[in-house]
Amino acid sequence: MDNKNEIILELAYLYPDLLNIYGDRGNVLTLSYRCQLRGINLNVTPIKITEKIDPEKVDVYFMGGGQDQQQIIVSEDLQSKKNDLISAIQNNVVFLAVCGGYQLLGKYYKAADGTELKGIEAVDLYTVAGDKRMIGNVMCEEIESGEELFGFENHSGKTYLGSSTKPFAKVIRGGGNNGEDGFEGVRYKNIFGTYLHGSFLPKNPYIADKIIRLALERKGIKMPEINIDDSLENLARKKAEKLRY
Amino acid sequence: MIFLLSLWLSKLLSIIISACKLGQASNFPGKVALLITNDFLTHFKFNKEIKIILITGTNGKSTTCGLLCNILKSAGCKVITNKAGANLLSGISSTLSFHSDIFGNIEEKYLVLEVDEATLPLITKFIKVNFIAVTNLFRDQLDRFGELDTTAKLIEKGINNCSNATVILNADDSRVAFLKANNKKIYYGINRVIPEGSPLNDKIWLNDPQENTVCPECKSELVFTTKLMAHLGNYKCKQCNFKRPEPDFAVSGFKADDLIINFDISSNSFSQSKNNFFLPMIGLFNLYNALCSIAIAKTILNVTSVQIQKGFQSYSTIFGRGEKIIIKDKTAWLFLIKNPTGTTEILKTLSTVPNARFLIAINDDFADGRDVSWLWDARFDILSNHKKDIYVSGKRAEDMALRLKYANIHQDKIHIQENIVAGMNKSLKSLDSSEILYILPTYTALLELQRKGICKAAPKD
Repeated sequence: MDNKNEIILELAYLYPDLLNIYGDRGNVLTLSYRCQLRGINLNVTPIKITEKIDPEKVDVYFMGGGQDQQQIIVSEDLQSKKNDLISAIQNNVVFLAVCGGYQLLGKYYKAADGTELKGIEAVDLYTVAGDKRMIGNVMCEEIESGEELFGFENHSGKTYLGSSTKPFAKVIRGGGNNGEDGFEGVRYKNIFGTYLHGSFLPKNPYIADKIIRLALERKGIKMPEINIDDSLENLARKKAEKLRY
Repeated sequence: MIFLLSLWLSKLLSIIISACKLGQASNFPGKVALLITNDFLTHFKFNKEIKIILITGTNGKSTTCGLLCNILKSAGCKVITNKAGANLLSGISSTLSFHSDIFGNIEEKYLVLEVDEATLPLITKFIKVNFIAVTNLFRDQLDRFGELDTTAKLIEKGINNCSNATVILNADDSRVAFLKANNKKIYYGINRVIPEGSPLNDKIWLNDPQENTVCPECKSELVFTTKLMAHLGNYKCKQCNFKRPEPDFAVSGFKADDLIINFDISSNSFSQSKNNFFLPMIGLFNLYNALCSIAIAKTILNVTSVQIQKGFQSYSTIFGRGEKIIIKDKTAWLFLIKNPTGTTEILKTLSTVPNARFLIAINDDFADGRDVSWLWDARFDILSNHKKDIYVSGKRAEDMALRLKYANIHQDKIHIQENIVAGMNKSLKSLDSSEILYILPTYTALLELQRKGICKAAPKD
């Protein structure tokens, strides 16, 4: 079928084979499903180490979290993609980064022994290793909308935001960025950085839709308005509200 | 003298605990003995011909240990082993104190122990072991950063304490094959075979959960010519010379159906070139466990193929690892699920069973892993062609329901019943006479069924 009116969005999934142990692929599944319901074709292209990205083509980037060995490899490889990614971000490309992926968008991750894992400096933030791991069910509130967000955090890195950025959410229950200032994640341009696994988007469809809308608007396309049955999502959210940290 | 006192106290405690039905006495007596004599294990006097075999690794310890004991028993050997899960210093001390006479003498000629990875160096410090087998090294989301490497180092330390022990290693796990030791090494692995009934997702980013794709020697990327499950397969480093060692015991072909795995083993240690076995279990991980038990059994004793097969057949599965229950004329099977890889392997097998129905029970207690994100890494999409209703239970039933929605299961076919027993009764009731219920609970969900007397915990001995 050659439908000239078909809307296509291109998603680049960064390092799915290396950053893959915290269920973050559920985010891509959710974007794909909610696009499909709206008649949008979301093309997912996995990007492996040393593979080039076509910055002209990509509408949405996704990067998840992983283990430290894998993150070292990713950090090195990202340096070769750094310029392309930064200019894409400046051009308002949508970017969802979770946990390790979120940290690598910043300046660096400083380990307990002082060694620094380089980020791509796309966002004004940095992370230092903390001595207490933050693990548990998080409940927070998106600052832009007041929408409740749910997820599971599992990190010892403490992230501090610079003045040119805004936090993504206000923590109601949990550690968030650093366990100190009561904020979670980052918002800058069309970047969404967060520590929340769960997976994050399946239980937070509002954010999934927002990501799709931003990606469409950047291309000058209006988001198709449809009714989506979110009854299972709402049940899971209701449950998440009652979980302990 | 102090040793004898702690031994007697430990024996007395285990008698009291058993008599008063306070538990299985699998840890506490040893714990008390260790408080009095911290080198408790060094004082046992073993039979001069004893062979001590330790089995460690992330997954498959209990099953491998159980299979090995059964093979040895079918070869007429007297074997001592620890209870499933009693694999720390206290559990092993309890086992030895229970099986020794009042002077600490142990008569049996085979001691087969599953040992926690971090406990291995403690055990090998105290007793001289003959064989150490390492099944695999996985890391799950419960673990802390860097722990896989730390675990590997602890195992290395444990092996280095016993330079005369022969080590039996999984060649298909790069981190296990890489373990640094000057000991004699025996490798086992599954050779280049295309597993049947392994549906691939057309989106490669949705394929089987994987990890550990980094070369342990130089940290470059590992390239795989075959990957059987997770990070297990035939690998080679892109940069350095590190590659999978040639296995001494290799599965040269296998077929899995009808809850049985049929496989061939090729090895110089068998008189025939091809040896066929069948294993009454499901999941590729159990094929690895069986292969490991064969590699150990053949290395320590010249068991025959018939004895091995007899050992497999007499193996009654341990707690939740494939247990059949019959309730009100309806049949159900229980398969514990705890991580993406194991769950994916179970789903691959069960999705090929005609008339299968499912109840999936997900809890998020500490023993289950408090983060249910792993459900998104498990390949529930394998169930996408399942036409029948699916029941979900447990404290995180709603999350499971949502996961199934994304596996293309229609919302109307997903029934949420948080209470596990109620979920089981409802799903059993919905079965027609030809259908069989497959219950996939996480650990504490399974414990709940056990407490209610619905299933039993069959100890491996």
